[in-house]
Amino acid sequence: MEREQIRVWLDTTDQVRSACDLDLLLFFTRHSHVLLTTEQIVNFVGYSQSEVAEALEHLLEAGLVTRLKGRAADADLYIFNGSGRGAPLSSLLDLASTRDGRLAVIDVLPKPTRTPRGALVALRAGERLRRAG
Amino acid sequence: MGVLTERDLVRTGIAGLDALLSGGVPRRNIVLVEGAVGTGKTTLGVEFVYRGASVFDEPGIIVLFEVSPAKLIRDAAGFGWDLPALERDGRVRIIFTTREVFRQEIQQADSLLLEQAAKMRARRIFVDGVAGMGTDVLEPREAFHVFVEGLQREDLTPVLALEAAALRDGSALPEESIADTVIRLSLEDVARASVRSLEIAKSRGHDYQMGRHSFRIIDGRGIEAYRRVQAPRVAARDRAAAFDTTKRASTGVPGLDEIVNGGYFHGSTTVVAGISGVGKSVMALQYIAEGARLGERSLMLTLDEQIPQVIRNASTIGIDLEPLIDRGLVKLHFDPPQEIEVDHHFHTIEQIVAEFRPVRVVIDSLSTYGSSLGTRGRLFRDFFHALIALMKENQIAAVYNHENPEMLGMSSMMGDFAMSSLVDNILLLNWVELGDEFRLGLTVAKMRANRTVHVTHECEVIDGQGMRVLPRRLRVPPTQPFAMYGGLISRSPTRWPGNPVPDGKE
Repeated sequence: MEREQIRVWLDTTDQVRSACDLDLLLFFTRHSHVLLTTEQIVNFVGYSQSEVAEALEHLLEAGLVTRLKGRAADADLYIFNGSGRGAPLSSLLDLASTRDGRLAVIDVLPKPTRTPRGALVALRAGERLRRAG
Repeated sequence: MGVLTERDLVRTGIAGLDALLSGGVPRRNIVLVEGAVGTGKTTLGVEFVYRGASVFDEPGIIVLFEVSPAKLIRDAAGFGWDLPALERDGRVRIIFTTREVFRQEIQQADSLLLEQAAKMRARRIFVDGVAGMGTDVLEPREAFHVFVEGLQREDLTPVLALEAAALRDGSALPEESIADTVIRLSLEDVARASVRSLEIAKSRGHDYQMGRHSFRIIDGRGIEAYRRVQAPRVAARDRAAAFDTTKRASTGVPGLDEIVNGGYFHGSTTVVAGISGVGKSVMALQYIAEGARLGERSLMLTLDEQIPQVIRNASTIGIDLEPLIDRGLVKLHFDPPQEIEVDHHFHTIEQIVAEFRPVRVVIDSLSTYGSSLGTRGRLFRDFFHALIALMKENQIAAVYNHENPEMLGMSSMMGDFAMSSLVDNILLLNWVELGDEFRLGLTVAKMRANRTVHVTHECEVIDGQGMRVLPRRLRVPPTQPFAMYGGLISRSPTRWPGNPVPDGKE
């Protein structure tokens, strides 16, 4: 996939600003109705709590996700509204549904100010292994 | 037990299951579906919701804890169930959550989830995996009770899947006593094959078929349940067992009708026993061809030979089956004998009989069933009982071929198949060794409710013509009365010399 095409999609939709936005959207694509706490979503997508909270607010403001306040356990019901949003977004999410496609989109996105938690853990594990070796 | 109206029953819509549940599950019964990994719990639960939304106008919710909704949608599509379309129409909602959140949510008086269920007029809910509902405060049983109480507040009929790996150690699971309906799913190893079975362990408020029934998960369709073959017969079958003595099925074998009083009664069971190659299948083909000649529909269930072989065999004795099949007078059905799932097999026969409505049925052969199901246990006997009952219910003149292993003579009529008491008519086909020739003998060993002359008749099978019974040319010498003999009961009769009865023996 051409980087330029991805850039056009990202610019057209103007809704995916970061890897966390993308992964959160992909999570909601696979789980169109979720009843979870923010902490649980953090665990599922693998970013820091503040990044997920920020991305969630962004998706809510963009109208891609609706949040209904839950009654217990700080869990809210999140409903994904993005499936009928037209070509640029659906093309972007289709592409990102594969490993290579996701990495290609992330590569075009602005570099994160903070490393995704999953990547950070792997980095640290690698460092420990090198030291032990 | 009170009779529930159809309105009180929730029909699952799963093929065969509602019949086992006498129409469905009483509305709002808590239905627990338990079984080990891979037994089909999720498929059953999803089909319950899918059928509700698509067939019975009862929207439903699917709650998942571990399975990804995307994968569930993909798997459902394999059965032809378009869940995304139902989601778009607001008739199905798939919710992904955790057990802890779900349990707490359901406990709330103003539960958001139940509010959503009410908004979409949901009548069904499937929760995939209710194990581990316990909390720090509540024991598992109590926690489950609290959880189902929450569900009971709404007009929902819940199906709850419970993974129970070590299900059958004799102890009941705590959830079982709280649930109203318990359906156990299992995978059984049968001679290196795996067979799925389901058992309705309990179901409050209505009648249901007890015992272990079979089911399959079929691509493009979903679950199909098959009543266990041993399940009690309906009364109509018993009533139909009475013969109508005015209707007989002629055999199609020249010379045989005279021996069997004009043919077999409709609704009767006839076994033709003899060693392989003696002519049983030839007689069977003549029997169905005779039916077709008379305009009677005839069905041949073959386990030993595939349909093209049967057609070829028929052509060698001058019977062209293909036009008879095309005209709807003859139906051939082949089922491979390996790994016969007896409930499914019987269900198939029931369906064919119901749709084709044959007057005559030939089963070729009983011995092959014996090889597949075993003759020692009850399974074969129960299956044969059910088969006979089905044929009698439909007033079918059924002929069963049975391979007797003995080449010359027979020491028992049905060998290991100790079921001659179930059978109305028994015809024995025997080789008779005369000089350097094997000649064919036919004896009517039993003909219930008919005059039977126990004479062995010679038969022959002619290329292009089939079998015929040869006329009895010899004059039979006058027979001696029993009084001429002693030792009759001890099976060593000795003829008295001279006068028939010695003095003082009367």
